[in-house]
Amino acid sequence: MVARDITLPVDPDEAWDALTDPELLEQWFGDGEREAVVEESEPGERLVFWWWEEGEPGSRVELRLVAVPAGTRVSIREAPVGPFALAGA
Amino acid sequence: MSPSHDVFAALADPTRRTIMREVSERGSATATELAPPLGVTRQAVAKHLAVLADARLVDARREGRETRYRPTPAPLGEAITWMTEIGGAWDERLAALERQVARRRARGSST
Repeated sequence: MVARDITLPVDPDEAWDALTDPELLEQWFGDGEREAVVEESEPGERLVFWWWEEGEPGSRVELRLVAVPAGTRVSIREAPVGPFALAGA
Repeated sequence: MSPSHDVFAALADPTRRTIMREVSERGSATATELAPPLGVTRQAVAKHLAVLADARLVDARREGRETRYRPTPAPLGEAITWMTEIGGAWDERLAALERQVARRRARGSST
């Protein structure tokens, strides 16, 4: 598993807006080599998705937003899921 | 190639990490050899070794009535490579997110 945590100097709703900004999504997902399926989307709180490249086993990404005194802590957890087996279909 | 989830699951258990270390230190081992020093039953060790074998972290070979295990750490290297690549990609994405937040704040305060 890969884990990353950062703190953004804005509240969770603003963090969520930045996160779902088309400009950013283009940078994150715009390479055109990846497919993704959203498992759960809870605005301002949680985003869970699965993504994979053609012919490769995929991985599951969990992104959590938590309000902290300095703003919002963004936690990313990505774990490989083995053979993808059309689990997202 | 990304590593199978099994490598992470196999090493998430502290007893299996100890068993993996013992097998690596000894070069090879059987469940019977490992049970006494670890203070667990032979059956429990055998079960853990089977999980490590499924994750391809050890190689199982029949030896008479016993199974002997040897360390095959290649999947660990794959796992570390995967974590380094995926982690690096997230560092870049999160830096982009920080820039996005800064841009939006600048835009917001100017209007």
